[in-house]
Amino acid sequence: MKKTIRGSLTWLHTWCGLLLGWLLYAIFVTGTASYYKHEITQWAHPELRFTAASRIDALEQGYREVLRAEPDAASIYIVLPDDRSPGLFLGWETPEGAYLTRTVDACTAKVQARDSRAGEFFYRFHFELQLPYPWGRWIACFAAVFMLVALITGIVAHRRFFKDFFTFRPGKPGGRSWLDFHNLAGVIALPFYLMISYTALILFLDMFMPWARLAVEPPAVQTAQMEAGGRTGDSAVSTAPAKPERAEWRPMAEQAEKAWGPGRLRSVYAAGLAAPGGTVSFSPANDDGISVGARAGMTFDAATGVLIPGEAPARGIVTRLHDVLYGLHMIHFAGAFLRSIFFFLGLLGTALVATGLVLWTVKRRPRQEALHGPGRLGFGHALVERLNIAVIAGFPASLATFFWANRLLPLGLENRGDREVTIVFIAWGIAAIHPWVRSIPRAWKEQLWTGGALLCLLPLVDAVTGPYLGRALLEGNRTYLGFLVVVFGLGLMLGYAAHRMGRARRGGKPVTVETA
Amino acid sequence: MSLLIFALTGLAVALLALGMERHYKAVFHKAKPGAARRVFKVSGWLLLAASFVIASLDASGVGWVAWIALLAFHGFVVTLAIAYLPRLTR
Repeated sequence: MKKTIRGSLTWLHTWCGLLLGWLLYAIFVTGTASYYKHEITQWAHPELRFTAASRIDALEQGYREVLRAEPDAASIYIVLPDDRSPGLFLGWETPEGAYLTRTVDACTAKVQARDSRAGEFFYRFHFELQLPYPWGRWIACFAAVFMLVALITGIVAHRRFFKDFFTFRPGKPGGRSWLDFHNLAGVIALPFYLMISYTALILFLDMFMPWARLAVEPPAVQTAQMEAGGRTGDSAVSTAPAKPERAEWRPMAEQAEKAWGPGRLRSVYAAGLAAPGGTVSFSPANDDGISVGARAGMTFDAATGVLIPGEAPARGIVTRLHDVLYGLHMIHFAGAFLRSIFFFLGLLGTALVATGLVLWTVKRRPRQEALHGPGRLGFGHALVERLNIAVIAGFPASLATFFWANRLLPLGLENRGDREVTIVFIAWGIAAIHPWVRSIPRAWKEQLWTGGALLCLLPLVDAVTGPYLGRALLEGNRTYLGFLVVVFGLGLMLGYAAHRMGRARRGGKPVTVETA
Repeated sequence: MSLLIFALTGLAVALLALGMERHYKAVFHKAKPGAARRVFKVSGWLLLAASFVIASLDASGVGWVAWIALLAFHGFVVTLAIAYLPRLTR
């Protein structure tokens, strides 16, 4: 430890940042992409088109389609399309207990989207890291705690917080420009980072502080609930009861839409349909305010279609605060304009983590060269430099292969959606090995160029693999084209980074590694 | 309204940056800060306050969220402008 408090906290910032930086980078990249989760999905499911079909008609079609596929569905979940994504999501539980899903078009509910996890892949990776439950969530939890630590120690470590406001001095030697950019990205959007890491902790609250819930709800009840698959009451008993009546959904949906206004109906969940006492619950879109729980849903009796007058759930100050903090993380309330600003802040956070990781190596390089001779690095230092390449340049390039796979894999391929994800991880594996067979500056350049090329060529791949790009151009589908423009722009950014990397290193001695 | 908040916060951030001695000198290629620097500073703070009031008119609270997010956005853009503009105008 260091003599002064600032010294100690700077030390903590440096090492905490290094160890968690790679993880935080991946979380930031996928989280930033998740702001456009629905837009990614509409591009990755190009078979589905935006239609003028009314929401209630779409719901009716979807309901009929589920019943056609499974007349005895025990529960049904339908999410309606919105102006960001045209797909109608259908999910249902078979009498055997299997849960099946399908994404179809809103007009006929017959056209099925290709098997792709689409935006959901980025969204899930953001907090589950593609790891089995609950490990991914625990690691993401851990990352959120340490991001908060890194932010607070970073504020202390930054010596001239106010004096250096609006300061960026490009082209300065000795890592000065890197530090300037790291400080700039950190200070300028500090409220955003504090908000996003703190609200992440709130989202995970139940995982690492379960005691409050345990105190209110004895564990025995929870276990029983879990064993019943989350269902309560006698309706879970599956002893082939008489098939209950099913009321039409349309009048219920019309009643809900009348209460909330047109276009606000978001999803429907029907539960316990196999036995008497089933319910159909309608949920509104909670996107007209920050809180995610501002509007309560409406629940109907599945057999009679009569509204079950629910007592308004008690929402104390803590619940309301929780819902607001939750909403701030998810930004369902953000329109296209505010969403683009948040996307930009997400990119800035990504750059903050990336510059921090690079800074660690830039600052230590002279000492390494003094120790091991010019152009030589110790094993530990070289390991960090190589991991930096594999994560900072390699991860975006690997994610780009997801979009290529989405267009290039044969449509009839079995487990197609899973294979898209496998391809991302194969690509990332190659990116992890590549810096070991190339010199460090070359590996940087090659991976950044690869990522840039993969993203910039995506519109071309899209154009030659199907009629979708041409159709989007003809129809003026701004969501579809906007996705490609943003992807192209990100590719240009990677290309620019590759170009700068080449210029900065030109004339420099090739870096070899002494494995000591 | 969001366009108004966008414009006001952008102007406020730019004026506040120019109101700082270091950036004022760099942008206007001056050795000593003039009286204009004080005008920039004061008007920057006033515009910031005005934009906050306008953002507060949104009862849902989304205005405040947008206000903070926009300050960060403009802060970044203004910093880059200050870093590269003096080179172009020299």
